[in-house]
Amino acid sequence: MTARQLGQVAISQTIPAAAYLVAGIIGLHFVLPPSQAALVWPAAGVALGIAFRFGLRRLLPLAAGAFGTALYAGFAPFHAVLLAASASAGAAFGAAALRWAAVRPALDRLRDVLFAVVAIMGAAAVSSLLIAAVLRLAGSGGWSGFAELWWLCWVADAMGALLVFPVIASCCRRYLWPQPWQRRLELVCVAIAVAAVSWVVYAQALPPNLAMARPLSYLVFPLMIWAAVRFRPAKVAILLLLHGAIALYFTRNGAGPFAAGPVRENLLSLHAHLAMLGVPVLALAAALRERRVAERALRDSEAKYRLLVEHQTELVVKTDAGGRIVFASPSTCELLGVPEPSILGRPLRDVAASDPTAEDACQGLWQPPYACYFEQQLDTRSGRHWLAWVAKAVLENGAVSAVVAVGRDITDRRLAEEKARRHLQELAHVGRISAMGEMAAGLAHELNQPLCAITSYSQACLRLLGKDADPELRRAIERVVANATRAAAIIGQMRAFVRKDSPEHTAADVNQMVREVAALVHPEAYQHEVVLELDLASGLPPVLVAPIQIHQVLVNLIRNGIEAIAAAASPQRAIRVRTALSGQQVEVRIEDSGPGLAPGLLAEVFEPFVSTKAGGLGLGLSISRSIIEAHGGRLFAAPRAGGGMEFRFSLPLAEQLPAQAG
Amino acid sequence: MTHGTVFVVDDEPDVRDALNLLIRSMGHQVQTFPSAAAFLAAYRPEQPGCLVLDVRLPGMSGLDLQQRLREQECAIPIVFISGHGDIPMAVRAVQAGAVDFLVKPFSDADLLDRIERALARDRQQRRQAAESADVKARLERLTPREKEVLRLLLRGAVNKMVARELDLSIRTVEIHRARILHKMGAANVPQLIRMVMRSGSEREADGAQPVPADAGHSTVSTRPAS
Repeated sequence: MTARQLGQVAISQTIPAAAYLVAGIIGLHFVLPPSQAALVWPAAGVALGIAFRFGLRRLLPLAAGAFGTALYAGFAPFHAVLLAASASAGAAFGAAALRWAAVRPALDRLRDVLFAVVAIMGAAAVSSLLIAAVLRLAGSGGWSGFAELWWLCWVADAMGALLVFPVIASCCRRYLWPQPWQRRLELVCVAIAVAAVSWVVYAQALPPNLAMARPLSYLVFPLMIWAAVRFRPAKVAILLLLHGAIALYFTRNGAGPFAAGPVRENLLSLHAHLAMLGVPVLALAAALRERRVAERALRDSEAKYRLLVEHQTELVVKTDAGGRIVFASPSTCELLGVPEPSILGRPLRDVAASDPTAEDACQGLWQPPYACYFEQQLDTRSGRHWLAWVAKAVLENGAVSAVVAVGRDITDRRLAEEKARRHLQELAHVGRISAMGEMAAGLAHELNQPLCAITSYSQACLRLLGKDADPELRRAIERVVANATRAAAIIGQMRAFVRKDSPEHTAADVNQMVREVAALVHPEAYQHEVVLELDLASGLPPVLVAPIQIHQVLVNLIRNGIEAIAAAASPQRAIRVRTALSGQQVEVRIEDSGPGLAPGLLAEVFEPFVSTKAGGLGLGLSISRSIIEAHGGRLFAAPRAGGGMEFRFSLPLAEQLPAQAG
Repeated sequence: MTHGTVFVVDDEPDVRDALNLLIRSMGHQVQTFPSAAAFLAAYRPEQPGCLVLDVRLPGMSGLDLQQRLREQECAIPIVFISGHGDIPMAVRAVQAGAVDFLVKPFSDADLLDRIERALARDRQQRRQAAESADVKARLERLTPREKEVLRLLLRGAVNKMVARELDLSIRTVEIHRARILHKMGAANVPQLIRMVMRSGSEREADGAQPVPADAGHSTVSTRPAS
């Protein structure tokens, strides 16, 4: 043990003993001979308070203090030991009971105060019984009147403890001195007022004709109630002790409103008065404190939830069972562009949920599952918004009592979706036009071949027949030529009609187009577990193209790859798109890890109406090649080194690059 | 009629056969091929004639074949035929030196016209090539001094200027000139100049620098006659 620890032990052992001794000596002033019992015994409160607050370890120094007090009072050491043991037993019993009941030392709950009162009376009962017995043992009065002695001891112990115990239990340096200075001033004023009133009333400082004796003793009640309302129980306990000490002192000396009879009766009357004042006031202070704490907790919790709701970007609206708004979060009001008071009490449909789909969805609020989800378009002062709402009914006894709706602004997502959808539609439209054009072109080519054969054969016939052949025969063959030519003209017109529109060419970034198409076909790739790898050269100069058509080519080629991989259940499932600068052109390669094509098919893969897919029109690659060639580029197909296919196309740059040196 | 063969390349058998018949009925010799590769394998550049070429062929396309022939400095005139009335493609073909571009089906008169134009171009190119080869051979026969005189004559110098430049007497220059005209087979100086210019041999006639080894071929290149 170091000196410091020794010092601490000494202090912790000495202070209880000293405190008991002091309290005991004060108590001895209230011994009225011939009785050996004191009429108030504050040391009981000291013992109970210290044992409760600082633990039963302090019983030994307390007992020492009690022993000293008894010796001081003139008892024989043997009796003094018994008295000390009795006092300690009462304190131990009371402290154990308080600990068992989980009473908080601050006494800031009503139940703590009530338990404390019960424990004080219990502890007093134990100690007073033992002490009365010891006093009888030590005295010469015999056992007659023992009950009265016990009763007196009990009253003295209980009264002393009632005044002193709350102070020792609850006083804490941390909150003894209230914070802002106004409250300190108030506390000091109340304390001065209590002391002054006590002094005036009990010291009979007023002229006798003004002193109305007993009724004046109630003058302290309003002050105590004020203190109970305004301050913690600890401070109320101090004021009670202050008042009690003054009252007891003067009454003991035969003054004050209770000084009408013998001192013993006077003191007992004062005890009743103090108990009637102290217990309710302490209870009131604790109850009010408890309520303040609960209110603060509620306020904190409310503030916490309010903070949560008010700092949300999500829109939060609460309505009553009739659909009238009772709360709208700041984000909601901001989006709607109206202050909260102006929409409170209005039906929700005035603000939102006024379209039929939303109303349909809201039907789900009034029956299981008592929740709904809907998206709606809303025109507000800040423009047109898309909102997604999740609403949930609050049920009370099976009936809907309120609805809480949480909305999210999904305008950006909706716009992006709409843009993607429009793009897809456009692509599909261009695809249809291209398919038609390609079909016409393919048909024209296919039909023009036999028509060419027909006319050539016929014209050869005419030449071979010579001028002097049968005119009928010549005419017939001439008609064959004319009709075949007409058929070709019709086909030509059809083609010209379909091919009429050609989209505008602009300078575009190939990588950008590849990325857009990758995003477009991603769902399909994902569905077939195909990985799309982009290997895009940086710093590519722009190309002069009709972007939508190049999109179509990319979609065709990538989709072909995905379908080939999916159909063959290839173990490697990847499509790689690469871009690179190649001379005055940008080259795009699309490689797939599919099964590839049979060598025989490779030659005619670009021919119209040639397809390897069940149900395929066989126009995709043909269209793609037409588009690329119309842009002045070329499209090639080749088997890939590690299996699969590679399609490669080139596009001319929007502006020629300067020739490079070397 | 042996001023050239019409080579037809088309993948469609009936078209090939019909064209064979038609062109033969016009009085031309015809050879047909189903693909560009087959044509390249069989064709020798010294064969006179023209090429009737389908644009869209399996494997090497008609445009590819045109490109290949150009790379080989083979100047055979080409008439493109196509089932597609594809204008950009036709423009490209003609820009690359094709005689014309016919859309299937075509009239026999159009085809005959284009074939005859192509054959005429072929004949002219060959004659020109032969002429320039002849002029070159004659130039080779000139002595260094005569070449020097010729060089100055080509620059438009008269005898007196030539004499002063080369430090010769006018008489000597006249003799050189007469020899040159004789050796080159020209009647007079303007004709001589035309002859040399047309053969594209003026640089050889210049004689100062050594003649590049392949310059002889370049005179057979596809320079249109017009």
